[in-house]
Amino acid sequence: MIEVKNLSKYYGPTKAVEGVSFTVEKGEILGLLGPNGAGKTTIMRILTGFFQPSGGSAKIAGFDVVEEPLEVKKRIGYMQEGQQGPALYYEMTVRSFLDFAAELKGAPKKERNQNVYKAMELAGIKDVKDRIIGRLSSGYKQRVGLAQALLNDPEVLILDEPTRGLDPKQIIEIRQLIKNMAGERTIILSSHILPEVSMTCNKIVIIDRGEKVAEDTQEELSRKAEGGDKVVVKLKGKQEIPAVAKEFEKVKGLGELKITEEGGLTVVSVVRNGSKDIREDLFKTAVNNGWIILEMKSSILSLEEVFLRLTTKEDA
Amino acid sequence: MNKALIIAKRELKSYFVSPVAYVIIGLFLLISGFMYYSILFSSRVAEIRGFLMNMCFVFMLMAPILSMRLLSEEKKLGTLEFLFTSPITVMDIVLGKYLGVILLYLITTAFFLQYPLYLVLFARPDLGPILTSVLGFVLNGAACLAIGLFASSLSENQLISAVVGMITLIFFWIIGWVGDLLPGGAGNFLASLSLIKPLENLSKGLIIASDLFYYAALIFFFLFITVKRLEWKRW
Repeated sequence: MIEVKNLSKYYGPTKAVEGVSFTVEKGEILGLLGPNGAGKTTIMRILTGFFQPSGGSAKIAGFDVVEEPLEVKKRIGYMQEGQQGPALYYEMTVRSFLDFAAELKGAPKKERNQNVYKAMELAGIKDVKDRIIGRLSSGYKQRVGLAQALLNDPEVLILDEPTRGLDPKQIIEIRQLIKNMAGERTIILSSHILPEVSMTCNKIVIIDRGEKVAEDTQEELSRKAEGGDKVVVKLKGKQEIPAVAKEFEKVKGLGELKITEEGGLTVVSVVRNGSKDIREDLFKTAVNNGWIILEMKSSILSLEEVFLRLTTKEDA
Repeated sequence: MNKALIIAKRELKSYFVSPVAYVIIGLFLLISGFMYYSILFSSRVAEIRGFLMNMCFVFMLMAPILSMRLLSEEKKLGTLEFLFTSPITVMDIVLGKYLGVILLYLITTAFFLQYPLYLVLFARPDLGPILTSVLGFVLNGAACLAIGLFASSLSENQLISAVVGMITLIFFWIIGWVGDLLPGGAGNFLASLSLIKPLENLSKGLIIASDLFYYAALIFFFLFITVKRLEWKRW
């Protein structure tokens, strides 16, 4: 449905996006994840035809965004991220704005009313339809932006930070809404909030400094990110850190070892490298040295950790 | 074209939501009423020539204030992105914006028509020059607004747009004087850019093809570079 190949965008000499490729199948939700300024919005703006790419190509529903922008624009619903929430005509009422947007999108007059009502229903803004947009709370403004994107049942939805500025309850509602819409529609959403992406998306593309650093499902990403499982062992008493490190380094299959002191305990955190379960070896090492294990905990790397690992690798 | 009309309709409506349109039209009518009164009563001649030139000059100063928000505001709010990602062309956007403000100007013109009407009611003016004067008023306004629209595409700051528009318009107003200072081809060329000359002809009742072409070319040129300016921004 969406095919991005080697996409690049430069603002003069400044690189915004370079060599990004990914595909999204029909019915999938793709999450673009990255720190602020990574190039997420730029990618979306190229997909929606607002920016021209400096290199590479992007196709939506088989239409090239540069060659046939009108065909592409007919098939997408785009919710942009403005300086303060989505950009809307603040002097208009919700109803008249959506009417205007539907008209621009080319809905015949008869269907227009129905389209507008359906979008308002989906976004949950029917009760504010006659209010002036500028006077709505930011949560409602966001929803008006979403309703605008939903007009005329687009095949592809492109949502730039759809939950920005919402309260926790609204965030859950919007996420649910987005999830409900997948299946029939193909969705790309961007966010720098990790749990959001991991909860709503089937597929995640991580962007950093304009380049793609990873693309996968969340589980796969966690597994791939240098080892996957993390084990934390807490030893009783303060131990000599170098000595502890030396002993634990002998354990095979360790990816990363970190030893710290915390509240009178010695904390050994290790990341597994490979598929071998290292908990047994860790236990034996401790016993052989006469260290008492008070706690041993293993966990899957959260998306947050994967993300940090991937995006801060160079600096580390 | 259809889409341009949709944009024009919204644009016109939004003028009347804010006080801008009321204030500008109100002030314009106040000034024009005073000018009409003083010019007519001091000259006691049933014609609107002098009045027309003065009013066109006043409108020239006001046009950038009417047009400053057209694109600047959209840029600032980010709604230009909404328009650009809707299935319409840049030309639709520019034409729509232009038509919107032209419709507002035609509403102003409807009020302006009362002045020649008084002459017709209470005197026996020569109708020819009066009709061409009204045509001149419309064409001059349309040219000023096209320049104002272009100025509005340059900045997201409305004040800057208005100032740039005003300076450009004043340039087009006074460029004719250079014709007297610079002899030869260059002087003639610059003089032919002037907004005054065709307006003077129309106020005398002269409809000259080259004057009409001048207005058409000026409007087309500024709409064209506005389209180019907006397209260029996306690269």
